[in-house]
Amino acid sequence: MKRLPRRFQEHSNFFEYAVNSLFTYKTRTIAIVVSLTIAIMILGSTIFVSDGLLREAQLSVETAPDITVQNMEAGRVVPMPNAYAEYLGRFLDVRRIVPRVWGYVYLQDSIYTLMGIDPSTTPIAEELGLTLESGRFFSGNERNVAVIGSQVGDALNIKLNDQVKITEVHAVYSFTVIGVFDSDVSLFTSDLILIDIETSRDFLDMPPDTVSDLCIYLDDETKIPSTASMISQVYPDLRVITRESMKDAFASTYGLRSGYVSVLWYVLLISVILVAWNQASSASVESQREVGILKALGFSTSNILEIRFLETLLLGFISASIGIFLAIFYDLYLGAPIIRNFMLGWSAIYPNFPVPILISFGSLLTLYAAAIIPLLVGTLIPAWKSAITEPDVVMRGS
Amino acid sequence: MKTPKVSRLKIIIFAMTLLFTISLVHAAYSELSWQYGPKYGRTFVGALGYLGLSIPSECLSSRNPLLEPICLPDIPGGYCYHESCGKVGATYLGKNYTIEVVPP
Repeated sequence: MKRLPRRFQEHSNFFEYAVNSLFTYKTRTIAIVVSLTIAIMILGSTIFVSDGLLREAQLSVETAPDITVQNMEAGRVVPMPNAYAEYLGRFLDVRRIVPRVWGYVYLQDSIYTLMGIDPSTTPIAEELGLTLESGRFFSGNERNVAVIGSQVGDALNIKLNDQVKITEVHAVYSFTVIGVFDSDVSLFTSDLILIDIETSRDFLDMPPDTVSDLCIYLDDETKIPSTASMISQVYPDLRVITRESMKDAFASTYGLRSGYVSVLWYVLLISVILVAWNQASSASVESQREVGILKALGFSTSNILEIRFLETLLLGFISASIGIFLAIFYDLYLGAPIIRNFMLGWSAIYPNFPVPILISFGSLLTLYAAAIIPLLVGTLIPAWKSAITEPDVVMRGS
Repeated sequence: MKTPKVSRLKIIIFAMTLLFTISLVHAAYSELSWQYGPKYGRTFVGALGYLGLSIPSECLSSRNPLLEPICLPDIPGGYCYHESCGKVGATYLGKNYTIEVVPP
């Protein structure tokens, strides 16, 4: 068998020595691997879910209206006259302007989103029908009918073709459930009640011929910024939301900057630094003796540093690999219990649908870096201090 | 008969390579399924306009078709009726609806 080049053999021996060191200092190795593995597992499983939600949101934005406008009064969104659609249509080069009515209904200790649409003006309304589990989607001239999310049905015990009477102080509203959205789309429909636009105005006590907002679709997407700017100049009381700004909003809401994930990041960073610090200080006395012996045998300072570096690299890599594997298993095969309760559910509804999970190559790289880099930083100075120890100092025990 | 001794180095390298490969395979599968799988969100947002995901997030951008802040600015005093912020605000909701379901 061909012998390995001498230099390579040397590094290979150092690597083997570093592996054996992990077994020599068992307590230290177990302490670091266990704590770091748990930290990486928690962070990883949260990042995978967070990435999944973000990707789902980003994908959905791709087909969103180019511009959405809302009426603002005293800093709050208020209903806007539908006549704005006509005004905007006159001077803008638009493909279509779709009015939308939406609001909230507080029912049995939960808040539901009620949305009114006009199927005759809604784009790709026929495709919505494909996402139904049962029943059908309503047509433009139907009144007092509703399509609900499957989770709404479960929470309020409503089934297909049931008649639902919702009573408030001044009126009773009645509608028939003619369709139930498939549970596959629960991420968008779990609290959604979709009714026709006329009924929704009555239900939400909105004046006739008013809408919550207008969705504007342009012929030429490159004109989004100039059109948005023009609307703002002509109607300064309108809030103009472009697709690009929604992408940013989604990124900050569901991405790495979102609450749970950013908190976990800080916790992980602090715990890794503490672990690294602990590792460096507890092993320093023993390792100094070891370094003294190695140096007496002919090892140089750079050799010792390389061994310490490989040890840390191995500890970080082992912890990250086990942690990531457990995170994948926890999310994909166990359905991310506990974490899903934090990430799913609106108001008092905790929907029972699978969380979207994205395991990206970028996340894997981030997790490995999160495990290895702080460990390296934490052990750099102690490793250097121990590596420059003179053998005679250690032998004399002074 | 003497059992051949497998070195610790080989065990560690094998175990790490295995775990790393499993992670990579899952990542590749996940990326591909997101790229080529069904995109229900597109249908919904394409038809209905912006819809927030029906999940809680930070208070200032919770479930809402436009991620509009619904918590603090809505009520003087800034009580929030988002689940994760407690239920203090629930009594300030104003309109209370009752529901009756009549089977066909």
